[in-house]
Amino acid sequence: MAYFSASRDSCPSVKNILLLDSEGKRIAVKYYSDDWPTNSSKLAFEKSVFTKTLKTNARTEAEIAMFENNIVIYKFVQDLHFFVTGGDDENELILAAVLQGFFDAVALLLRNNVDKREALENLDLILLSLDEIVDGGMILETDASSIAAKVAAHTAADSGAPLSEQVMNLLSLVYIIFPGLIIKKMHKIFSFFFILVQPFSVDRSVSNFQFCVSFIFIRLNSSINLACLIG
Amino acid sequence: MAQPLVKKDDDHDDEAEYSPFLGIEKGAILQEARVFNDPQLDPRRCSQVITKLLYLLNQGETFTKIEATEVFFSVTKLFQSRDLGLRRMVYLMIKELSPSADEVIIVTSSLMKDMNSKTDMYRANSIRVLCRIIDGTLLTQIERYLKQAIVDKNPVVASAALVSGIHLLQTNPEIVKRWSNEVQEAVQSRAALVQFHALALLHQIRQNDRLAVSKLVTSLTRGTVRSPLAQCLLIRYTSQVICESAGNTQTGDRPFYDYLESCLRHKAEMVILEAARAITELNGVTSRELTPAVTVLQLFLTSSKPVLRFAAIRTLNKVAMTHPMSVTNCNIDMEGLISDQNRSIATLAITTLLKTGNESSVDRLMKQITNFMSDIADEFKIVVVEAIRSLCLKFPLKYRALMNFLSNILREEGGFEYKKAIVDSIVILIRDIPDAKESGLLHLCEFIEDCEFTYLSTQILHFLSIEGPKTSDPCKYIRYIYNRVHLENATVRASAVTTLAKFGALVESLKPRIIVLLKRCLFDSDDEVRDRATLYLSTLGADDAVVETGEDANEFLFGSLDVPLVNLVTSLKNYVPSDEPFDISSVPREVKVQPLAEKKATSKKSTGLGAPPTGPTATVDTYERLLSSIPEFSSFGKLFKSSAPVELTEAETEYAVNVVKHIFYQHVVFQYNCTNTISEQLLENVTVIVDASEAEEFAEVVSKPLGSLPYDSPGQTFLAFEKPEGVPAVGKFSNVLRFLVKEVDPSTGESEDDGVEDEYQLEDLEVVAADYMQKVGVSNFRNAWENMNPDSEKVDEYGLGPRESLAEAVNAVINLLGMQPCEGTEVVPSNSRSHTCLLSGVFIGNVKVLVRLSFGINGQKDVAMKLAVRSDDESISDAIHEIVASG
Repeated sequence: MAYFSASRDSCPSVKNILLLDSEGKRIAVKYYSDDWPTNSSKLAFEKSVFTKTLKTNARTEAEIAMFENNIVIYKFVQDLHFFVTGGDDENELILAAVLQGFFDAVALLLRNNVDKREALENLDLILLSLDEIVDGGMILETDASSIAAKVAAHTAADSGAPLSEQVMNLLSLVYIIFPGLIIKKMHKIFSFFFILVQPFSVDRSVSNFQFCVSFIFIRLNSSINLACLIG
Repeated sequence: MAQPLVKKDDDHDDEAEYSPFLGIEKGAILQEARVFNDPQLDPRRCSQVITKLLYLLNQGETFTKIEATEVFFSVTKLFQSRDLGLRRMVYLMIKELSPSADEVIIVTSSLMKDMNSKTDMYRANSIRVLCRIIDGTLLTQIERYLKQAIVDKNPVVASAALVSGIHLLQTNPEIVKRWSNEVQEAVQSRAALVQFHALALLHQIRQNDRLAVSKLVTSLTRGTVRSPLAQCLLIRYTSQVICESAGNTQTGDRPFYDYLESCLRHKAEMVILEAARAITELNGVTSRELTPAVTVLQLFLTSSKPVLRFAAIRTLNKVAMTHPMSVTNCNIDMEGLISDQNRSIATLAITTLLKTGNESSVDRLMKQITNFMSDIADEFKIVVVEAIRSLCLKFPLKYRALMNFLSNILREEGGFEYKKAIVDSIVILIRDIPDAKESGLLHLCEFIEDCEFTYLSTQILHFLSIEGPKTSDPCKYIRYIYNRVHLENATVRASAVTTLAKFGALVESLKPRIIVLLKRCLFDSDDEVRDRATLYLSTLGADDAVVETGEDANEFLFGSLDVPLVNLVTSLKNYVPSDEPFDISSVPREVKVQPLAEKKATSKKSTGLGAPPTGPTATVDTYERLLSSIPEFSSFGKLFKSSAPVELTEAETEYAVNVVKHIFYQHVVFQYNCTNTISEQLLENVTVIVDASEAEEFAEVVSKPLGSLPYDSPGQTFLAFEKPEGVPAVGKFSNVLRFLVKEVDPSTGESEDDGVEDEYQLEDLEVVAADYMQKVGVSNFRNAWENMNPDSEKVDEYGLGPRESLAEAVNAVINLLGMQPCEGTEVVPSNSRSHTCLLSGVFIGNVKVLVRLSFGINGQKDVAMKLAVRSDDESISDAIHEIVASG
């Protein structure tokens, strides 16, 4: 693993990304810096960050705090606490972008049911999205839909996948069949499938729909890729 | 989908504690991992098991070497499966296991196959995995593919290769540097993030080539940069280029400033922030350049996003340190932030306001802060206290309000560090603002009435003993001090006794009453307290005994300890108990130059109640012992100072020689440390022939040659000169090393009998005025300065001509005088236009010298200096001026 000194003339870098539950226990964590060499020092850091941010309200907007020469940006939803840490001379907004990317990608992947249970049940997706966001401290991608798309790519081909993936497969197929369709017309097809999906699960269709929209939009750029997947 | 264990229902609230990993155990999962070896792979099940393994690793579980190897080998079997999801998990698992070199070979071929796969996802991920685990030799094998990948059509693949390149650059720079053509091409990519990664890699490849970086920046600032991240990166590189080229452009506009300013209008906030920060951090930024940056930051202050507010206030806080006037426009917005939900933002807002506020707003501000102090953490409170201290020094007239504030918060709850910061602040205010002295001392007295920290109590008592007797009504402090004797622990009681004694000795009218109080302390339960009381009673002359010792008593009680503590400790350790009493004047006074890190630490501390600077003195001791072992030098008296070794030869020559100058009252001894670096030679009868024709006042008296100098074992030869008594004679000496060379057979180590006379030219040696100056620090410069006879003060002004920077000029003068900088004043803040430096030292003949240097620099970098000297001897003050005038 390579480490960066976060001086002003070097690359923006992330020191760690944490996803903790409402008691401060780990769901998924990833460290990219050797500031915390042992597991116990990592746990101590997580504990202090968790307790110091616990009382703040970071549910609507991401909040920010400083710990031991580090900037921590955090956001909470339900019983999940998201943290991104960087050096104290790092551009706060870049770290915020990373957090937002992770947060939104998880929301997309968990179809807006973002809570601890769902996160643990789909831990593979969360670990994969961490892998797609930052590589050894370097920011790979901050756009949530791209991250989610990359992570979800494989599940689309999964035969026993849950309903949403099947719907998404169908949608993708539609796109393959009518490659000439422009984006505006896609909307009609979405509404068609929206009706199709509704009987199965009324309250969740909206999130599925959102998910599919974002998914298809990305795929528009790389249709060849999709053809491979479906084929 | 890895965990379809429970169909999703709406009833999860019933079992909130449910976790799919409940009761998971390493041993069981390792057993489960056997499914990887099944001939008929079940991708879904394998994915689940990998997720569980990753979960364990993530929770901090570690695998033993054997377990890890086993898991690794079975995971490699999974490359057989064509399931995409499973393959992703396999990649992840390999990265987490970080296999050893011999294991890597097993997966290389599989990964290399994936690198050439048609599936982009395979290519991108296999590149990242392979580069993570690979070593140099394997890297050359796959280099070709990586180069291709960098210019791949698919942005994900290109990014993966570029980011891997950035990591590999740390371990295999020479290989990655060969890719710069491809990276250059990738910089032009249309994909936003590819450009970002390519730019980062290209810069790292070329970072040591200033010209190339400058070219890169020039071309990109004119072209298009697509992603905000890449734009941020470019801003960083640009400010680096500006910083490096700053020295060259004396006049007119800064290069690239227009670019930075245009970035302030970018649509992405992160770019705006980066540009604003870059502008504020420019070297010697003018207020005209600052204005646009401060304006955008002001807009951020009212943003709904805490992160944005934080970033803006943090930047403004830094600006306020150097350019408070530029930030005053934002004062109203910042006052709004004092009540911010986020305490970090509120603290930064307050400290910024304290820096930018004017005298009239102080009272209002203090009111707001008082409400706010109760609900922030100690570490923030310390920041506020420090800001208030500097504010008070800025507006001395407002000391009343600020002192009240400090005493109020001193009464409230708080940890040691916080209380110490407050006490330190009050002490500094008392020192620097004479009007604040009486009220400040009373606040401190009240504080020790109820102080749980022994350290602070003793420090305050000590401080009281210095300042208290000088006040108009010293007797009002006695009550507080004597209360300590009744109420506190032994340590505090002992220091209270000392404080009482000092009051008694300095204030004649209090003396009889103090003696009564001290007598009561004779029955204390602690022996240290009793001892001190007894000692002070006798020095104060309680038993109508001799008062003739008054002078000595005063000296004993109030003469500051003018030897460094560490030196005293080493001397006491070396002191062999005998009939001869220990003589404190034998303790070396020289303060040795400390290692950089230590110096930093002390210079930080020295502002508060700090102790005098201390340092290791091993070398002084060894020199002294060495010299006293040579009978010829025994008549020279006590060693005054030994210089640092001066190299007389270039590094890596045949003979390495350096010299140490030992200064005595009437003599100078040169100690030549010689090293023979030729294994085939033995040198005998080594002497240094010195031509002292350019040093008229010196006369050679003794020369002590070195008998033999074998290979690689250093030896010394000495040369002593007589010089006029106590006079700082200077001069230049040219040296020649003369010796007898004998050939040595390196295999046997035996030397031939016949030798050849030979000479070796050494560099010249100078004895300068600084050699006659001991670096002796004082703990409180102001006190020491005031205690010196003002008549001895000599002031003059000097022009130092154009200098690189103020810091350089300050250092040059310090080195010229060879004196000890006090209170950390040798550090010049960057960008400052003027600086005051305090120096102290002891000149030959044991004359104390204090120097106050005031520097100023103008736009043309011309430095002017005002030099004020006080010393025990007026003629020495003149001598110091002479040194500077001739130096």
